[in-house]
Amino acid sequence: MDSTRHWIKFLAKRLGGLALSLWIVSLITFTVTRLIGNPVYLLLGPRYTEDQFQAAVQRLGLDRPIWDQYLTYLGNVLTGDLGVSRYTQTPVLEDLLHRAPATLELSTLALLLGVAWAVPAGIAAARNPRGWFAWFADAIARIGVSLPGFWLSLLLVFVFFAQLQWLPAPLGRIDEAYRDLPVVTGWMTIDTLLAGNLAAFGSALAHLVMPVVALAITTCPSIFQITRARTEEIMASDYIRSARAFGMPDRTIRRYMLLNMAAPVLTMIAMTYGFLISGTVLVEVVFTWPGLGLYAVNAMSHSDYEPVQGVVLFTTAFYLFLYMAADIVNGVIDPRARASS
Amino acid sequence: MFRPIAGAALAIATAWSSAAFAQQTLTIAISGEIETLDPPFSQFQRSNEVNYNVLDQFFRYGWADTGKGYALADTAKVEGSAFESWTWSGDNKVLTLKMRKDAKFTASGKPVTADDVLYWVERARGTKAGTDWNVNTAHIENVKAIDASTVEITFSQASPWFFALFRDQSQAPIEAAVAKEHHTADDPWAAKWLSKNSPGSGEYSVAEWQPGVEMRLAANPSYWDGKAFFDNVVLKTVPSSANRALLLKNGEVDIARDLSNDEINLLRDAPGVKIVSVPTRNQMLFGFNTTQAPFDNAKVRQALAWAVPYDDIVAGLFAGAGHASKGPIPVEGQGHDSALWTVSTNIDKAKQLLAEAGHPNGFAFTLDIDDGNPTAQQIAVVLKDAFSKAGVDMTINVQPASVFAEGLGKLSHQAWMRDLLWYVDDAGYTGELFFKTKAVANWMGYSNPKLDETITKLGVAVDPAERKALAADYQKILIEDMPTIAIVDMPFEIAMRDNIEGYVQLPDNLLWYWPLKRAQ
Repeated sequence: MDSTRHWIKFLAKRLGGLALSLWIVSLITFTVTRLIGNPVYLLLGPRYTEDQFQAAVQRLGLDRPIWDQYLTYLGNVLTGDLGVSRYTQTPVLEDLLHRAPATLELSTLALLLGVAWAVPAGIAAARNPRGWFAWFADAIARIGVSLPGFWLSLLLVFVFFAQLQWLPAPLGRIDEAYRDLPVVTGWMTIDTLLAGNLAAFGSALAHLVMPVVALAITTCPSIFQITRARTEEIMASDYIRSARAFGMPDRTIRRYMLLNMAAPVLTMIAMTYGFLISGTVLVEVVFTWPGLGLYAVNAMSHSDYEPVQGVVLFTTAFYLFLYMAADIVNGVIDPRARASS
Repeated sequence: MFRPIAGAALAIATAWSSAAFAQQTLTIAISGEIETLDPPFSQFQRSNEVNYNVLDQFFRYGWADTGKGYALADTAKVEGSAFESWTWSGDNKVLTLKMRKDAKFTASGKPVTADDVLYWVERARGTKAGTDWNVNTAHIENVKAIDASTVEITFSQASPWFFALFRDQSQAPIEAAVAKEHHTADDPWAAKWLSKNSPGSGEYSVAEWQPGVEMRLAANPSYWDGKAFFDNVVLKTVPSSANRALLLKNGEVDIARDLSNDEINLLRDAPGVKIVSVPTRNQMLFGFNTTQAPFDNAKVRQALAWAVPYDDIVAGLFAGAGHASKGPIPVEGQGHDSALWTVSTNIDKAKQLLAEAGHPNGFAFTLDIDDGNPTAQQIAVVLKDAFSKAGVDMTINVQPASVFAEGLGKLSHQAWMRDLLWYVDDAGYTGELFFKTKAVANWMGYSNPKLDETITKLGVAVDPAERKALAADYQKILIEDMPTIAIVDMPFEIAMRDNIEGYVQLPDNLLWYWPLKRAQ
């Protein structure tokens, strides 16, 4: 009974925090986008009459007080209406749903590649901190953390496309010949397999290689570092030394270690995933990846408020949801986390 | 035995058809998405370019080969496009136009009629957007259909720049019946539907559009002036300019748009690539807020004009292409007279004028620039150095595009710099838009009743000799008052594969796909 009450309290707190954070973010984004200039001047260009100017102001609702505009916006958001792009006339939600799979596929594969390297490498480096592998893995992490993602992307394009021609041109997600395949999930790798087209699947994978590697190298060193530091800390802890002294089997000790290591590593993975969703912008620009980042960049360059607000809200919600999910998993793994919250 | 032969034949046929597709497809790398297909709401070069190619404008300019690897549109030679012929009334206030008999809408195959023209005018007025400006500025009072193929336009006064306005990308009929099907109570002019659909009669039509990825245009087989050479034009969105240059170099695309000066210079000697460099009427303008000290004093403005290193900018930043500006009418513009331009680079003269203006020790000010204009930023750095030699300390303030545009509209910049393309090659139009007292783009707050009078006269004068004399007055006044300094008439430079031929330079720097060909 107590445990159920604890869980309800725990989840209520997390959901309340999520809603509050989203509201604050919506307020900040709404205010900041309105500080970057009146869009009507840009929308109309240099040729307009006063009549046309006022018509545009009215059409965009900019003649109303800012608080009134915000309340309308908030009310619409609560009903799932994120507004309409002022340039393309497309509903923002429609654009986001269309663009999100491209970013999600890229970020998820980059995260999987990063975790597949960073977690085992972190544990191996911690177990033998003075060995060559620890030195090598540490060097990779340091290089990755200090390289700008877009620069590494340009370098990869130059080497693997322009010079060696091993990989396709940085022109989107799949070769032109396969662009007519039916869209089911929006993930090219899955949709090509569902269509039973292995050549298309190969093309989708080939297009993913460079951006995924660039993102994995530049965003996952933090997972390596926290895995290594936490493993070293646990290996030096009293309970592991006692377990060893009592002659516990290695398998049991490894299980204890992994359980104790999991919480901070999972949190870091969740944070990295959230960062990847919002941090792919420049990599998307280099690889012409039609995802959320490219969408936001286009909208920013036109002072198109609604898409910018939509992308920020979407990525914030995604990030907070991941963070909450990591918290819940931590609560399951470690009762102390649940109790302390 | 039979199967391998059939397989080989299929492989050869596939390879041949894919090579033929590549041969007949023009691939262009562009820097961003096409914003809209609805001309009244398009203020962007990419959208304007697509609209120019998928719509058949009312008129077009004739063109002639220059012998320099490109043809040039002749702004003095107006040809019919959707309209075939026309006659003016004796007082130049009534224009009777005949529709082209063989002009048909691409999708339906129906003829373009006078009703479609009337709908275009009604929509321009109803949407109160860009095309409405053209209708008003051309002094159009009334438009009526005489019969299915005849339109009569009545003007409130003679309109010397009517043709120049009605040949731009937005001035073209769309199929009224199709557009009307998408009118709704919330959207009475089908703005939403027309932003994604273009029921026009142009040289191409939109065949596929994947936002953020590419747009494919298919040639209109029944275009009145013949089908284009390229069956398909693919506009690929490649936001990174370094990648656009790389893709062109590697032959992945035929044309790369929106490259920086540095990238263009790097491609000049690349094998298989050519740079078409054309002088234009695109001026980089340095504008002063003439309502505030110290720029309310014409001598201060003149002083800075004498400090500008015009020739160094052309040589250093544009590799000698383009022209050092010589006054408010571009060197390539109608009515330009270089003899009226008395300014040259002379720091001593600049100092002398500053002393006469009461600033013997110079002064400090801020220049605002749009962050999306790298060329303006490069020029500003050169100007900062030049002005410092005259004792003037200029701070360069780079602003987001919308903040900069709002500052222009609200006259809140102390000084600003941006490029302006005089696509209507007419001093009267430019003056009406830009230099007349309280003109919509008078971002200088400038006013001179004598100039206003000259501009008004230019707005109705049709006699060439009178127009030439008025244009000379216009230049003299603006050179004397110097509300803006024209720094450089910038070249338009476009990088393409060396087998692309037939390029025609239009006055608005839009790429016209119809005359382009691939050399065998």
